[in-house]
Amino acid sequence: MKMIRAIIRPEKEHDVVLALEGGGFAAMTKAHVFGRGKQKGLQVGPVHYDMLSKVLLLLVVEDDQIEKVMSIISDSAKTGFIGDGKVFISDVKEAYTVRTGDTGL
Amino acid sequence: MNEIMAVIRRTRVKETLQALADIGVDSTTVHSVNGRGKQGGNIMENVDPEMPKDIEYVSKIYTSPTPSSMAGASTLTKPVFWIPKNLLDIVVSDVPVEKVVDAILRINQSGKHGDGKIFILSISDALRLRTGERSDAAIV
Repeated sequence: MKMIRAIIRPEKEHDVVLALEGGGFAAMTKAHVFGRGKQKGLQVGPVHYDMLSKVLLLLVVEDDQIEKVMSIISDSAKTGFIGDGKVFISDVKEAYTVRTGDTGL
Repeated sequence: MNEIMAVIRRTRVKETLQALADIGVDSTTVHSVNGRGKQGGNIMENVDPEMPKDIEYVSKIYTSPTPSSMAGASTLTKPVFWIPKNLLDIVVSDVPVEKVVDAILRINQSGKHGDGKIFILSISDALRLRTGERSDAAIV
């Protein structure tokens, strides 16, 4: 299993979630976070924004689904401008469902 | 070193932290998150099973408001439901993972959908900022 952490634009959250749901990935966790990238924030005239608000989507999928999820996220979250976000993938050793105590997704 | 990420009900966090402290896991990070499961977060049928099917679900919302029923009242073409949860982030090195998982399961099993999920990840390194200790020494 792999954990996908996608940091996306807040205004794209709805699109990405609906696209993931359409692809069969309904289960996820989201958190509203603040962050910045290589550009160290955003300069608009005299105003400099150190941190920009983003949405962090966290989902865990089976190994063979990774490419599908990645293409869904990159298609739906992309605007082509700086600040579209990043996706990080890490290994998950085990997963438990609390209600039943079973392992696996 | 292993990281245990548990998405659990908000009402069980205090008890869970107490149970974790009892087995020697004192350090935890608690995040406030929104989540949804395989059902897509839609728990409308679970709002009030006694309510007859022919009653508009708007009236069900009125009788027992839940976060998901409020989402159902929105004007989205396809409702996206989010249920408030807490995410516990625990990194352990000397305490066995099974013990932590057992403690979380024991406290959080209500038998109804929405009890949450636990994910186990491995951590490659850690650093204690105050002293500069690395790896296991930074966690114990």
